[in-house]
Amino acid sequence: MNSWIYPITQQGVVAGSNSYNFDGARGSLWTTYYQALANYRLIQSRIETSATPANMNNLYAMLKTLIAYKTFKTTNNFGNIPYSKAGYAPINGAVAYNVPYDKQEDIYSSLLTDLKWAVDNFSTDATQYSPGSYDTFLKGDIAKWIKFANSLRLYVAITMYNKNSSLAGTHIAEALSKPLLTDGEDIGLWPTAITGLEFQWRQWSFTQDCNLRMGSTMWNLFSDNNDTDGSGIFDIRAKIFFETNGANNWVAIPQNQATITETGSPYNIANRDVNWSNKGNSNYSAFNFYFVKDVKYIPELILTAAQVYFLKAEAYNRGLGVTANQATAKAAYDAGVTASLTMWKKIAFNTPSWVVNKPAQEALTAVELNQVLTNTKVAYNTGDASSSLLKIYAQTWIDQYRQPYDAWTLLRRTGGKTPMSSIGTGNYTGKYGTLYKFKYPDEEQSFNNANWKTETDGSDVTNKKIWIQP
Amino acid sequence: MAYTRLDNTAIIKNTNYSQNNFNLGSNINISKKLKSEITASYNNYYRRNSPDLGQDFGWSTFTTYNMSRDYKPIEFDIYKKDDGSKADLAGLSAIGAYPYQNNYNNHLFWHLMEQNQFMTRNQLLSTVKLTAELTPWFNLTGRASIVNANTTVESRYTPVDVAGLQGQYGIETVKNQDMNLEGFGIFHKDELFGGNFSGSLMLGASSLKSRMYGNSAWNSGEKDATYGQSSIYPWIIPNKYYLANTSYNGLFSLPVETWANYNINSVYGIMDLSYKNYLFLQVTGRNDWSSTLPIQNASYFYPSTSLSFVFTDAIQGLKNSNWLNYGKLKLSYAGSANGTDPYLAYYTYSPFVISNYLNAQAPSTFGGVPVRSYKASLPPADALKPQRNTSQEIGLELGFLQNRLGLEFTYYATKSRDQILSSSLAGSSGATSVTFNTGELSNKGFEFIIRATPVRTQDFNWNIVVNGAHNKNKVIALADGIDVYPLQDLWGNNGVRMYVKAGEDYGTIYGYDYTYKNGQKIVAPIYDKTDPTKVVGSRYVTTPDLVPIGNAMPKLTGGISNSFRYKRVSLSFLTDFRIGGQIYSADYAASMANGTAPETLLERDGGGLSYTYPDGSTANHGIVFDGVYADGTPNKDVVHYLYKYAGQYGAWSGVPMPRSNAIFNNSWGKLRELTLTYSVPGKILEGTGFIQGLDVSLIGRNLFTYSRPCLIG
Repeated sequence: MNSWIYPITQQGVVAGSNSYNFDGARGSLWTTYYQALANYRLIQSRIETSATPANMNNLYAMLKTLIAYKTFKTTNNFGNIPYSKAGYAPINGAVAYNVPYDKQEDIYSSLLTDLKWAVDNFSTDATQYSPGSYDTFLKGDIAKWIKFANSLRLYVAITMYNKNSSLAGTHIAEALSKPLLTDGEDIGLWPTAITGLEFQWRQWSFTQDCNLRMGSTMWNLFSDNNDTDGSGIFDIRAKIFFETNGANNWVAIPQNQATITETGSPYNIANRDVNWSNKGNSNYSAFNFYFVKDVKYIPELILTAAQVYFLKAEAYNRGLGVTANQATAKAAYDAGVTASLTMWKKIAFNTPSWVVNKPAQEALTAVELNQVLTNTKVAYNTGDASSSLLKIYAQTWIDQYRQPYDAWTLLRRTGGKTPMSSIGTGNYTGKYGTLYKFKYPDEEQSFNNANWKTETDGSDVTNKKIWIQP
Repeated sequence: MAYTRLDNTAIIKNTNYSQNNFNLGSNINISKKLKSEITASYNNYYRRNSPDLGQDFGWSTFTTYNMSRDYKPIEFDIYKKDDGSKADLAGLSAIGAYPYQNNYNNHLFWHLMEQNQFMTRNQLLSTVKLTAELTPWFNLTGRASIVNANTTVESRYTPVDVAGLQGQYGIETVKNQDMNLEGFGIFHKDELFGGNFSGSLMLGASSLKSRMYGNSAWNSGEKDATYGQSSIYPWIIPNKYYLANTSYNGLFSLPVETWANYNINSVYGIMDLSYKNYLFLQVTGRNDWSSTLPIQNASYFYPSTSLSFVFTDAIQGLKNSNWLNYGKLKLSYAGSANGTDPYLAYYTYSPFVISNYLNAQAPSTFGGVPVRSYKASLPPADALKPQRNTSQEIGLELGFLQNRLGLEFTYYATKSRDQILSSSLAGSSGATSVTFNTGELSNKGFEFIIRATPVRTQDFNWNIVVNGAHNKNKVIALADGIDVYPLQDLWGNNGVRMYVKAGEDYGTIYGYDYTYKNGQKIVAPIYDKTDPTKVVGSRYVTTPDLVPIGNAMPKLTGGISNSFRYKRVSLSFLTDFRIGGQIYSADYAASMANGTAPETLLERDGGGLSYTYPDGSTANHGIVFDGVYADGTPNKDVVHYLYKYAGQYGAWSGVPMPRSNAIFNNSWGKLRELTLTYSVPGKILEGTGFIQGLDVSLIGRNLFTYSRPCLIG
């Protein structure tokens, strides 16, 4: 997926060919989600048939929140999916083997209902069943659970606002009045917080036929010029996300080139462990080696504080569910940029295996922050809401460096208002620009054929727009 | 006593096997009434690497499908450095990647030559049988047999580093033991009820205990391994293959144990009755208790009966017929039933939570706490029942003209119900497959044998036997909610699939196919993505869903065996044939798509139409797809030949392609064996004093195959 989603969002460039098909991972994405959903359905039925279901509300709220996140992600990957009647085969048997597809708009609306219920029903009451140490995710921190569920609700509502503004507006207004994730509350799977967690596939995802390089689209938002010594860099995230080429120069691949001549193997872990500078003569700047190598510290992010600040900024910038207010929007935006810079610097500083170009200290300095906030490419202009909106999208898109699928959702729901290169647009449109969704896995066509046909009309294509797209 | 030794040198690189086989058989008459029979055999089998038959990243696949015919594997000289460590083929290359197939197969050579697996199996089979003739009409037999097999698979992966610490070692042992104890008594009496009847009755009981235990463990010291497991804990002693050779505190991946034990106890009886040597009746009954079924359904009974009637002996008028010497009619009904594999009877949870683990084994804890999930393969909803079969058969045996012409014909119909089958489910159901106990299948068909001796003289003899069979396999019922029963698939839905629906016969091959307008294939132009007016390619429009494109079932299978004997020389041959049925040839499709089939050379060698490349250069590399546009007007677009081959036959493209273009008729005839024998005359042998008879034979096997590869599509 890395080799497709990054060039689609333009957060990176793939040098060479994409060896795998665009939706080669669709089968495992699908099964992983539906197996989780089936486990959820099983617990759901146990809760509903337990002696005192009300004592399970807190646990139920956790489950609803987690499955809402997974459903949100899956429907954004595939569009309409089986949902309300899906995952019941282990409980209900034969009647649940063939599942009809739900419309994405119905799924979104059901997610908002579930998330509202979760926010309203989280409870620290002593009568509530406690999963104890089995809550490996947020460790029983109910206040944080509420913030996560409420922030997710804001995210879902804003994502669908253009399609159903009245429903979304109500939820946005209510979410903004309740606790949201703030500084340092970056939700994700942090290996240091979960005993024994290692992201064993991460190295594979970068090294297996995935020649990712820094593209000019992101480079332009980090540097004032193309000086190869990096003297134009004003954003510390440039040196955290990416690194120099084989000749120790900063060189981005111009985005969307038809043919790229690239050599070298900057993701050869064995070579680079011996000698960090041995990048095998690569011509262009690669993704930072440590994001490839580390499997024990760097998190897989789910919803960052910065993301939530940017959502809030967008709500006030555009007046979604609340009255537009550019000053409030700017404050949220600045807080978002700060939270993002802080988080990424902290990750780089604290990753034990990170050796070369490690930040000298954990805390973000005022100089580092101001360099970014005052740069004209970044600074929020309260007098120009529409250009500032694009900056909100751009900074969200940067923060989502390791959540490219979220950046893809942003790109699609805004109709392409995320940073886009003005060069090679033809190549981009031809190869990546009309990839809107994954196809359904083969098993749907084979074993859920009638419903699959109803949904696809016998032609399942990747350029079919999903509901959230304009 | 016998001893056999077999050595096999394989065609496939770095594989071989050998086998030693000892057989012992003895019969001892302990007393007048007590006889014993003891047989034992000991087999020893050794194999170096199982031959790769076309797996991904395998040598056979690589050379057959991926590489051009003139590829020279110079990698064999460089995959290993002089110091014994693994060479980095990607790093050695000027472009920083192993050049073929985008860096795929970069580790293939090391894997093929240095990551070896050795299997040894020692197997002892023995049977002791005691028979006591207690009275002239009753005997008692006891039989004990045991099969004991020990299999060891040892994997030795050469360390990839100079220090010899980054290697892998695995050991797996499997112990199988099947013990069968059986006792039966036979009552037999001729001339019952006044002389016309004979009969026998056998009553017996048996007990089978089958035990399997296996364990395996793996010690990897190799970082970033492509094959086997990766580990960040290198070995401590260089180049030594043993489990404790690790710098980790304990085994990094825990040993895995497997069991498969079951018991079957049975009682049975067989009664034979005959009347005047022309009417024969057999009735049997058997009750089994299988440990693989839940206790309430573990016991099951099944009977069978058969009746034969030799009418040429029974009907006066036929007794001395000149033309019909022998005629028998046989009717039978047989039931059978069986349990299933062990441990399917009760539901268990899955201890694994993370499906995409890469190193070591699947974790069964998360965040330090044990976890369980439901199993994605659902067990049957109700308690398992025994699987049952019933078959009905009618047969006729005839002998004509002093038995110089013989005919046997059998028609059978079997029905299998309560079959334990497994079918796939769409992932959205929440499960990936379900096992059910309600499958119902039927088999119907006929078999015939014709024997003839056209010439029978003192010096010359000609015998010929023709046999043939036809079978139809049908699925009568599956389970609620299950529409299809998958059989095979190749390359997913964009390739070909075989599945069968309830009510259908086996054998249909499904795939996307061409669509037609007025009998012409429909062609669609492929436009430049940035300039939607410019045609860059063509493709055939395919059907919206998979459709039947062939059928694999043969109409008739059989063989002919023929022998001529002239005095002391005889010549015989044995053939097999198959008429009807089709195959999808993935080899053909792949060689067409990859340009390794000779017919793909036509345009490449300049035999095509004039085609202009994007850079302005021209070559006779163009083709026009035969067909019409959707509106019925003829296609005139000249496109690159790539669209004809890769665009019409390729795999894994993610694009539906017509698949009937690689369906072939699967009718063939094979010359299985040809034997020329000379019997040395007794006069010559007399001189030796100890040789009583000597035949000298020249035998050829699998000499010739005839088929007419007829492309259907």
